[in-house]
Amino acid sequence: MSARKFGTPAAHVNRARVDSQRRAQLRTIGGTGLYGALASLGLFGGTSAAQSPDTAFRAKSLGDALKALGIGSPADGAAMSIVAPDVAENGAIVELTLRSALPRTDLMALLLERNPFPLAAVYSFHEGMETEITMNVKMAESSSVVLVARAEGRYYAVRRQVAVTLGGCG
Amino acid sequence: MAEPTRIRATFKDGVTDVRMRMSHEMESGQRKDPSGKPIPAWYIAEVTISLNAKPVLVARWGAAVSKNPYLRFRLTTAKPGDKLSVAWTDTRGAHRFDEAAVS
Repeated sequence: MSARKFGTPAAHVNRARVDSQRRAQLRTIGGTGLYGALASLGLFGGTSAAQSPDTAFRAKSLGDALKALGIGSPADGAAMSIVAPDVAENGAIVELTLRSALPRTDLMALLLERNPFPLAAVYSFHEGMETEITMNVKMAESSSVVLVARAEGRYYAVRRQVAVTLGGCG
Repeated sequence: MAEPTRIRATFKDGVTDVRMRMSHEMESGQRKDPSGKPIPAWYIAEVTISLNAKPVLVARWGAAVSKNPYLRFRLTTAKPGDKLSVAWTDTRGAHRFDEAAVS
């Protein structure tokens, strides 16, 4: 994406003041910029063949998504947790809190095993961020929710079952 | 143009709690319209959150994030007056930039 495509900032934001900030951000949020940022963290390298983030997000199974992310077999993540309802009444909005207490966690990936496309999110953490995120997701049906964290180059995972009363994807 | 992202960042005892809500339909691509035609996917795919113009969180989202995405997290290096900004890009190439001060 070229810088020109980023258009006008919000009306209430002073353009001159924001330009230098946006330049810093454009380096990261442009399509290739984000991929570059993630790739530079070694996400798509490692022992597996590097694939683009799109491949992972288009994967139709948990295994394929993990493979596309270059994540082999994650170790058990004892210091990680997923806070989620046991039963979600409305699958369109399932609140999850994803947490890793593993020292120097720099990446988290969230997968919803029985969604049409299991990979839901990938987060890359920089200095100053606590490695905990609360977000809402759509779950098609009752399923395992899998959180993968990377700490010091190694992958760990934790899994939790969430039942869904009314499916939220369609 | 998209509605602004609402951002609330409150500093207390060295930690800044950040809550934000983006405004976006977040169409997963799985729904069909009344005539049975699939509604194309359209959702925020990339989010960069920065503190004083330095990225602290970079997110890549798939189609499973809920409508009007809510996000909550904590920062340990922010202080009152610092600028917290959110920039997102969606699958149609549209984007949005908003910022707020840590209070």
